[in-house]
Amino acid sequence: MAGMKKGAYQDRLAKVSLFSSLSKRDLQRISSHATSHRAFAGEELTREGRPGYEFFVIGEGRAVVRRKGRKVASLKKGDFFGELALLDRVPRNATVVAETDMELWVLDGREFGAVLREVPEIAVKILAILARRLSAADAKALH
Amino acid sequence: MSKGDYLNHLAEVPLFAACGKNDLKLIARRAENVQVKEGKELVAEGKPGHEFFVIAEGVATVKRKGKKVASLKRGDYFGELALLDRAPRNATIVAATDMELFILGQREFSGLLDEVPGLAHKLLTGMARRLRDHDSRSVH
Repeated sequence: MAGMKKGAYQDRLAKVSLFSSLSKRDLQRISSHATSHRAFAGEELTREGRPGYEFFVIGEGRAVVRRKGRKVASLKKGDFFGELALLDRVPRNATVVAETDMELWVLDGREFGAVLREVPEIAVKILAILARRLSAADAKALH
Repeated sequence: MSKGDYLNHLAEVPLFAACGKNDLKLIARRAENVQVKEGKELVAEGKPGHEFFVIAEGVATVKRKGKKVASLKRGDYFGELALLDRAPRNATIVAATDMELFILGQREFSGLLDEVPGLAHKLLTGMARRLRDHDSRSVH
């Protein structure tokens, strides 16, 4: 990333909860794949129905998740999104818009695959978070 | 079952289809191959879960609060949610026929996720699909 030293870049990655328990070596691996992106309030990050090519981790700021125009969730620092379209290769199932100025870590499909391979701990963390979401969705589907 | 047959059997499970021979050997060493009779309760809703199951043969019924919500067949897997988020089982699963299963305990399952990265990716893909199904249903 332009203007930021490698060490500073890794320090910032380490502050994101998804990456917080990782070793220095794993952080290096991730920083070699991830790109930092500054988004402005109002910027559309994913669009429902469109193909999705990126996975996002929020370093700073907040975003709104909308489905068919309706707000369904808020995302904050440490949250991630965009993994569903990358994993099952179907269009985005929600529109995500920056609610504030944001700092994001972005991985494309190839980079995301490489991180899952090289840093199994990340794959397991994402699995655990998706498992929680799925359990909650299963429980809700009954009511 | 001979060792070669056992490996071929594992390789037929879609979850392990992308695994190389070394990965399959590792899985074979960690997994227990179990036969169960029709009617056997494999997981109980609300109870803690310590095992991950892959169906080699047969059919199972998934029930939530006593209501049948899904069927699982050869090649399907279950039990990973409770292992991953360490919450109680969110469904009861009963063998609807005689079955053959591959079973991994918590430690073996976690170990394989670290040692066979392709496995985590496959599980993630399956979970992504299920989450998406829920998401699309919940807005309609």
